[in-house]
Amino acid sequence: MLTFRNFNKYYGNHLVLSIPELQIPAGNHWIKGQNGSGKTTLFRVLGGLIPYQGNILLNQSINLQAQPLLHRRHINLGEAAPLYPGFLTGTELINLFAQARKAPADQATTLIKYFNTNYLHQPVRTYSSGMLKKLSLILAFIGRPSLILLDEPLATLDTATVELVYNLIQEYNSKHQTSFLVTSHQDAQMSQLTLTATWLVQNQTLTQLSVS
Amino acid sequence: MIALLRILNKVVVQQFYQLNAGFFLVVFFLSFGIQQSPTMLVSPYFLTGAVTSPVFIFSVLGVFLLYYLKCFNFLLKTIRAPENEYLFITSLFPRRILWLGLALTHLQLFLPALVYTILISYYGLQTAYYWVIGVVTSYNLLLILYTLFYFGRQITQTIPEAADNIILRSGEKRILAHPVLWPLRYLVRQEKVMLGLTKILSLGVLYAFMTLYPYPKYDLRPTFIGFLTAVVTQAMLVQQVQQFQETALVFWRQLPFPRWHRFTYQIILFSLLLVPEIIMVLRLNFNPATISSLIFLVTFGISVISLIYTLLYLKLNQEAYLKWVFFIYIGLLLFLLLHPPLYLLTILLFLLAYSLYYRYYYVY
Repeated sequence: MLTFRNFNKYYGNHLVLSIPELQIPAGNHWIKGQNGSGKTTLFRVLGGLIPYQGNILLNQSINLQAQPLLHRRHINLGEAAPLYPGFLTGTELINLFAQARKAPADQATTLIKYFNTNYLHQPVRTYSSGMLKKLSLILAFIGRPSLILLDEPLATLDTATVELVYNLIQEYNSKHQTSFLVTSHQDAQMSQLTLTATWLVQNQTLTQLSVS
Repeated sequence: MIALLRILNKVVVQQFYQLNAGFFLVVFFLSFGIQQSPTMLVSPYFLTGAVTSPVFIFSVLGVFLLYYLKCFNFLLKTIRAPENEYLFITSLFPRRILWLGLALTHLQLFLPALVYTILISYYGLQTAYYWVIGVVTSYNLLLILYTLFYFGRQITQTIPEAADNIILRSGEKRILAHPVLWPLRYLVRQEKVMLGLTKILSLGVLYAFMTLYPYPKYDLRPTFIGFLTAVVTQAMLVQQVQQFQETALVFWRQLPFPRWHRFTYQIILFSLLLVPEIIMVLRLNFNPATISSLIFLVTFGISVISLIYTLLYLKLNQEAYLKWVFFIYIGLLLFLLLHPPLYLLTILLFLLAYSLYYRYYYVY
């Protein structure tokens, strides 16, 4: 699914991540790593939000840097600390994402009902952190991407919603063959997911820990 | 399409006009409040004559360019703001829809200039100066095309970090390292256009006063008025500094500094903000006979900017703040014409500024 070749990410002169050669197959992957190890940077690179050096290919065909639009059509990102202008409503954001990603007609409505988010007509500034997280998850699941990146998706969510997220990941994976890269600090919770492999971001690189 | 237009309208257009309400008020006042009917910039009498002058037309294009830079800077800052990162999703719309959205956004931001373009074109047609219509229309087309090209690229590509940012950052770190100077670092980094335009305006005004009424041919009052005007033009920068201090540097309030200490820091900060104007006033009027007056003038300028800053702690909205700045400016201008002892005025202004700061700094 993902191929890294001579990948380097610097902030100024400081090297944050370096992955000379790596293949990540399709499936569900858990990315572990300490705070500040570079997990979020990796996700922001894969999400097309920040530049990098080297090559990353999706499905051996889409070069993420050279084909930014195809890249964004195939990879969705749910951020660890989602941030939106306080004066917009969740509905406005969902409509934008649904139209931009040409989502199936009733997908947004289904996701809104699924996460029980009946507050989305209100401005984002009135949301609690959990409510905001649910909105960011809905936005991440909109469309039919090949890969969804979920950065700390379980943080600030209640137990019932965590279950909903697991079920949705399994459903997207089995029905639409969507792959997932997920970061989480909760080891116990991640064990409930059917994982393809576990990875560790450490010492400025990404290494495989185990294969299921 | 509608979702895109709605988002761009709420995130860019509405925010722009809300944030710049004070700016448009001042422009409106300068254009209509202090102009006589024959010289009013929109009067038929004025425009019929003015469109025949290439100097006027190119001055208008210059003003359009400054206004365009203001709009451009706002749009760029909005698109790059962390809370607007989600806007990258708009790149997935078909290109013609994205460009249409950007074009409509540009037209709405640039509306005041477009209205004036239509007026000029109308009078160009009336006076058979057709080249005027050609020039202003092509100029507007160029600006809109540049907006589409630049922001289309900003949205659809992952923009590499500019190398000059790194150079600027290291320079900033060395020169503006002290926490007291962080607001200046913020201006240099995030309010470059506003800082640049303000300095061009204030130095231009000061230069005009000092060269049109040079000392010793005239007395020092025009220099005083020029310097006062240059100081007052910093009002929007002062507001940005205060907002930055009260949002990003809000922890500063919790640090155990007495108020006189904090006030002194502000004086140091504003003295540095006025360095270009101070250098200009000292260079152009350097004369052993005037040096003490110029030093008093510089101190007076710092006291004025400190007073303007402390006004912001009275919880005024932007319109009220700009009105107060204007009243202070007119009042001090009249005082300066009377040639009062400058040191006395400076001491009074510092005392007033400090009492306001002391009284209102910890009022939430």
